Amino acid sequence: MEIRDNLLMLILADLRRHIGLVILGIVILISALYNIYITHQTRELVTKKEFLSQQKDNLTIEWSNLLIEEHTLDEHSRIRSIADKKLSMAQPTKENSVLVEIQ
Amino acid sequence: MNKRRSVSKAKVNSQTRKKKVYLSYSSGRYLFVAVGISMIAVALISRLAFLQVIEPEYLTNQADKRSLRVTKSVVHRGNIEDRHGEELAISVPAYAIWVDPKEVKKEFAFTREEWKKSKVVNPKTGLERYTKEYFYESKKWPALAEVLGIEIETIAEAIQKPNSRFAYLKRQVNDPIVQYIKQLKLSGIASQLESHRFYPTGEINANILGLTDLDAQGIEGIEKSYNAYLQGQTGTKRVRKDRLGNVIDNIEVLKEKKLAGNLQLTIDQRVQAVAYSELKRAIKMNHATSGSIVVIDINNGEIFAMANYPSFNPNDRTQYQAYKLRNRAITDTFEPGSTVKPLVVASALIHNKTDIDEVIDTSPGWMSLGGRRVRDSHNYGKMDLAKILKKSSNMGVSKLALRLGPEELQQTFADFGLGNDTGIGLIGENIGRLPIRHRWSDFELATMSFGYGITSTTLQLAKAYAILGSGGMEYPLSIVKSNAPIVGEQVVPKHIALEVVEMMEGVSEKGGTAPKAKVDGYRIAGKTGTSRKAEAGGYGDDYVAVFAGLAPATRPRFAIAVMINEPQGDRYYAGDVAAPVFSAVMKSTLLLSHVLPDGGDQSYTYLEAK
Repeated sequence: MEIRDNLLMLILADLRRHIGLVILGIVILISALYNIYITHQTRELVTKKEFLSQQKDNLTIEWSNLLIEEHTLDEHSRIRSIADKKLSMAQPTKENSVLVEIQ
Repeated sequence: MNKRRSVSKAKVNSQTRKKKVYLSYSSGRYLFVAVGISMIAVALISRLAFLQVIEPEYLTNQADKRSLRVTKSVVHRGNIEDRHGEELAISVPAYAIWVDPKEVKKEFAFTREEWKKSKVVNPKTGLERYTKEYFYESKKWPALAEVLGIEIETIAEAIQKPNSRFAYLKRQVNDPIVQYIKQLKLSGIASQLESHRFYPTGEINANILGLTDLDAQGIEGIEKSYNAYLQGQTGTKRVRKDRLGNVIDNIEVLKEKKLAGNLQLTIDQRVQAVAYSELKRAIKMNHATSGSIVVIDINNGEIFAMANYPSFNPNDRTQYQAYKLRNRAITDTFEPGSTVKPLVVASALIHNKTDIDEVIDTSPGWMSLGGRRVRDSHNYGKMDLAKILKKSSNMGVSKLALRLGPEELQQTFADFGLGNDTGIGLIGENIGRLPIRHRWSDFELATMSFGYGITSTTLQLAKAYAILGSGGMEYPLSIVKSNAPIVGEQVVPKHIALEVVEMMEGVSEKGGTAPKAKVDGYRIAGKTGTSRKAEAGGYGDDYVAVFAGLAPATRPRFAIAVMINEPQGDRYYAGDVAAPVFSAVMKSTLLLSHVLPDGGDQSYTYLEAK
């Protein structure tokens, strides 16, 4: 029987001889994968930012709607008439006012 | 036997195979495989090079077509606030609902014939089917019409227009309705983002704020004057989107987004609300046709309130009528009547034609100038300057005016801002009329001294009194708050201005023309004016009732001018019509601004600050 070389051993020996190349190859591979990972993360962040600014817009809209509601309810003539008619309030006269001078 | 044979056969087989492996090497076959694989590799690499190097645009374009999008970032019009930051005009997003009739016609038939024509029979199963739905049988269209508040016929009409690709169904629709419409999933119906302007204070500020049109462009008032500032600019940018429509990359900004500016006014909404309601009440009570009121801060020329009647609710466009929208305080001029008398007295003092202690004899209560008469309602006899103002004596001021001459009198009027713009910077301001002529008859000069032959706006009148109150300092009026320091200009000597203010205090006292102008706890100075309105061919029976004044008299803080146009009924004198408005508004203004009472009476409880 002829003695056959073990292929696996041969390959390993070869790799050991060019260990520098192997390391470079592995580094390239890692860098490439990392690139993919970073790109993916960037996209996720951009999406998140976009989502948040959309949310901000929606909140601004809600805020302005609430502002309208607030100012419709706190309109001065309305407060005046409620104070006047419902609560029987009156503007203080000089008889029942106290003057405080602020220095 | 069998067994043995098979064993030996296996033995033979294994022996021959071993040999064959090593003998079967053929250089021709090896070459074939090697060349084949290399060719495939070369083909692949050249294809790759072709795509990457020689013609990369094609695939890039294809990718961009599927992922690049232009997004819009809508900027809403800026808010308008009062001096305390309370919003007077707010923009909220709204939607315009529009229809593409061509798309609708693809799926809906408007006549029975058309509907029947759209019948197709499936050749395999023989089933009948209509490709179009009959428009009036659909339940979705009436739902749409109902939610939009329009008739279904109107929608049908808009859709049936030939060759049309776009028609607004309704504008300024709010979000919940749009969501509902989206759920109806009607083809050809789409929404478009726009802006809706809302005015929480309604008619109170309508005249000064003005209006925007449906495209959010200011068309009146402050909205128009400051349109560019309020508007901002919608930005667009190019982005890359993924399959789900998420933005994954910002490529470039196509149009820079410019945020809209918020505008802060000098208006105090609390004062403004009182001013409007008091003015409205006085106009209703006296059956007048219109009126204006202006409140100015004397110390810096800021306008605290400027109200007009008639007004309208800017949130309800059906009320819109051009005459209601006018900001009468700056656009409408009238002859100011007796309200200019203090200015005449000031003029006489400036030009040394009188001194404050002089007593002028006005008897017999009338005089003839070039064949025409100047007269008082009574013969007041001998009066000092303060009493002339208190009684509003035409004789008294006419005598002063005759000493002055037209140039000097007009110069003083001009110094007080009549016939000139007030610096407020709003569109539509009228500067009034101060006629410049060489020849004046004595009678014309006399009538000018009690406010005829010249015209002014309510705002100008308030400004003239503010100049008196500030000790002769003229500040340009402002309605928009600014941080720039306000520079005044001394136009009248200080002591003269303050002396005239002191003289005007008599008006609200007993025997004066306007006891109703009194303000509890404060001393006020003011002047009434009731002038006949000029018509074609002379003066008619309609009046303009004016009251202008300031308070507190000892340290003036606010100047108010009230003008009520054409009061009807028995009481048309300014002292009865305009003075009560002045009193009520001034009272609220002083209390709300925490101005220390100077009335000098002891009914207040004073608390010593520690």
